[in-house]
Amino acid sequence: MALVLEPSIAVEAGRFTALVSPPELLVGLLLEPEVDRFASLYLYGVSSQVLGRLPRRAPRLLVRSCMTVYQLLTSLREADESIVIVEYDDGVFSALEGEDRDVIFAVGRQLRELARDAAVLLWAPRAERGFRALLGPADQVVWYYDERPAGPARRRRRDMQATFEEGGWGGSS
Amino acid sequence: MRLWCWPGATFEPGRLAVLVAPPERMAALLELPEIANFHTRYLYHGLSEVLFRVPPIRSEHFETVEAATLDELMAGIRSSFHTVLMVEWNGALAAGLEGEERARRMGRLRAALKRRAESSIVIVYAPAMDAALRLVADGSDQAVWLVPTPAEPRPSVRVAARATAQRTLAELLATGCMER
Repeated sequence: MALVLEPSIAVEAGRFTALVSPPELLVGLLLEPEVDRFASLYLYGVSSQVLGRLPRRAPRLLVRSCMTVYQLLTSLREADESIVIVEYDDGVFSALEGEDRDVIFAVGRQLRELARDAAVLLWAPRAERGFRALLGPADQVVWYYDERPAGPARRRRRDMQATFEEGGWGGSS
Repeated sequence: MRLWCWPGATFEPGRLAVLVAPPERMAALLELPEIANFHTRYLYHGLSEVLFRVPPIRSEHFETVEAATLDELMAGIRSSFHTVLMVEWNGALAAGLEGEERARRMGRLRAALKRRAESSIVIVYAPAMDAALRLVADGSDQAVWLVPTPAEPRPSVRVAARATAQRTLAELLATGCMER
């Protein structure tokens, strides 16, 4: 069983894949027939950027919302589906500070553990700080990046700065 | 020591990484100051797709080694003492290898790379994945793919003007530009 992203890139059982791409790419992946054929679990945070884009006749997915990291961790521990897709929500992870951030690494380890028996995909539209922390245990990381050239650099404000003397304020007192 | 490749993608000692990306990305990696400051060996076959994209690295710590065959590549990896070892994979190195023979030879290459990765940063780079490299990637610690999404073509001024000037048939008939 494999969900094909590109001719040579596939999300396969036994592998934890992290994907950074536009949501349309994940929508395309969810519409592959394998998602219908195998038991699939879709986990997301407070809101999803992907589920709303699915057509009316959506694939058979068990969809679960995880409002906290601990809910996500519990869902991952209980998962026994063949395909597990996690939509990264920065709102869920960004609240973690200090020692609480260790739980992010626990999520990463759990995803890796789950990948022994299932195809695990962690998706995000951008690589936020919390997402980057989850990339360590991933077997493969796939980035779709925009090739558009960057716009002309703005003139730095620092160049415009002048001393008091240059501005005509020197020695007036 | 770490080599920063992309936001969230860094290469560090103890991990064998396979990077599949456009050559410009690998060239950017070679331009990092760490490459000139630490002992680095760059192995390639034939004509490198990367080296000509970067200005010559004038450092006594940096060396390039050309490997004409898979055995020479293995020797280059085994004799390496460098902090950073980069291998530019070329599919021609595994040309003619099929089935069990390919699996055996690539398995040996993977084992040699893994051994080097215990104490140094090892990056196997290729612009595209092939069946032989897949055997190395499957046993690596992480495979990183950087896939550029082509920019959408922007309509030219003439096309955009034509698009805004489009009218329905009913509108054209009403203005008298067309006869029924």
